[in-house]
Amino acid sequence: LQFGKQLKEGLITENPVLVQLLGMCSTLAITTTFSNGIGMGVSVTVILTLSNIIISLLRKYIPNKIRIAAYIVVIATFVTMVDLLLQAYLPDIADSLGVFIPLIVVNCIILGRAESFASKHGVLASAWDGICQGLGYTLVLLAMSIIREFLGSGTFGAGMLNGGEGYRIFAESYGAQMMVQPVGGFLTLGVLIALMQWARRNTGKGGK
Amino acid sequence: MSGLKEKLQARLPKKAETAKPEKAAKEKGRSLVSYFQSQKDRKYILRLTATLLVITVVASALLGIVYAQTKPTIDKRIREKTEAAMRSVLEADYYRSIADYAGENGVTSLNEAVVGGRVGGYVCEVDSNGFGGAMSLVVGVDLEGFVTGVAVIKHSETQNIGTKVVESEAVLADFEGLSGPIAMGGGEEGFDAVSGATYSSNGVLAAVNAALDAVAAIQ
Repeated sequence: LQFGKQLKEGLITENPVLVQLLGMCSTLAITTTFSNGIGMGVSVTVILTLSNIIISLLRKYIPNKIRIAAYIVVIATFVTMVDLLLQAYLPDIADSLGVFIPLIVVNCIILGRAESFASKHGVLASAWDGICQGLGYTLVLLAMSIIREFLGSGTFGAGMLNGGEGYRIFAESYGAQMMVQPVGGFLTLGVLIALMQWARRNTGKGGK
Repeated sequence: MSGLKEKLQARLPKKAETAKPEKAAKEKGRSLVSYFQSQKDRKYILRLTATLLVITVVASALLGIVYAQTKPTIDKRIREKTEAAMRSVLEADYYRSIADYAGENGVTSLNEAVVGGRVGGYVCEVDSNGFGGAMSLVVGVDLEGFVTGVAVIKHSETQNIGTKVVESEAVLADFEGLSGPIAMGGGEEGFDAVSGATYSSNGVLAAVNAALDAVAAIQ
C-alpha cells in the first residue's frame, strides 16, 4: 500500500481518463451537467472500489485463462445488486443515478483496474486504488461537465444546486448548444487531454 | 457434442504453453489433440470449468436473494409512482384496470378513472421511444376523447436537451384539450416540437396518439 504514490497516480500521472484513456464513452456521454458528473463519478468510484476488493480477494482462485470472464461476472453481479438495493431502499438516489448505474458494467475503467491492478495486489492496496482511480475519473468528469454546462447552457449546477435550478450565469439563448451535444464532448475532452500531456511533459513526468 | 467441446477447449492451451507439450506429443507419436486429452489436461479443463461454475452459481444465488428481497419494495414504489402520475393527469376516486385489454402501439394498460361510481375518463400507460431509449408515460383522456394530461414516469433523455420536453410541465401541458390524431406543428390543433429535441418530442407525441387511439377503440 503506497498511499501517496497511488493517489498521485490516480489523480494525475495515471489519470484513468486523461492518461489511460479509459471510460471514454461515459465521459463523453454524460458530462452535460454538473449533477450528472457528480452522479456518475460517485457511482463509479463506489463500484470500482468494491469490485477491486472482491477481485483482489479472489485473485488466487481464478485461473489465468478464464480471468476476464470471471471478472465480468463479478462486476455485473455487483452492479446489478447495487442497482436493485438503491432502487428499493434509496429511491431518491436511484432516480437521479438511474441512467448511469447500468452503464457502469461496461465502463472499462472497472475491468481495466481489475486486470491491471486488483488481480496483482493485496486487498487494501486494491481498495485504495479503486478510491484513487475513482477520484481521478470524478475530477475529470466534473471539469468537463462544468465547462460544457457553462458554455452550452450558461448555468452551473443545474438539476442539483439552488433547488434544482442551478445558478444562471448568462441567458440560455446565448449558450452554444453544440457544447452540450456530443461534438462539444469531444472538443472538451481533446483540449483537456492536450493540456494534461503538455503539463506532464513540462514537469518531466513523461508523455509523448 | 461434449467430446467436440472438449477437443475445442483442448486446442486453447496449445498456443499459450511452451513447446514442451508439442515436443512430448511428437516423441510419443500422437496427435496434439489426443495429447491434450490426457489425464493432466482433463484435470486443467475441469478446474477451469469448476471455477467458472462456482463463480456463476454464487453470483446468481446472490442476485436471486437480492432480487427476491428487493422486488416487493421496488414494485410498491413503481405502483405508487404510477398512481401519483395517474392522479396528476386525471383526478379520480380510483382507477380500474380493463382486464382483457390487449395492448397495442405501446399502450401497456388501459384504466377507467372512476369518479363518484361512474367512469369519468380513461388513463393509459404507454411505452414509447425517445432519443435516449425507452420512456414510459401516463396519458389521461376524457370521455369525449380529449387529452386531460400527460405525465412522464420514466425516461432516459439527455439532460438539458430531451428533458426540455419530458421534464417540462409547460410543454406537456400543450397536449391538454387536444383530440386525436394530433399532428406535429404549431397552432391550435397541433403539438409544437421543442427545437433541438425533435426525437423526444416525437416520442411523447406518438405515445399520446397511441393512447387516444386505444381509448377511441374501446368506446
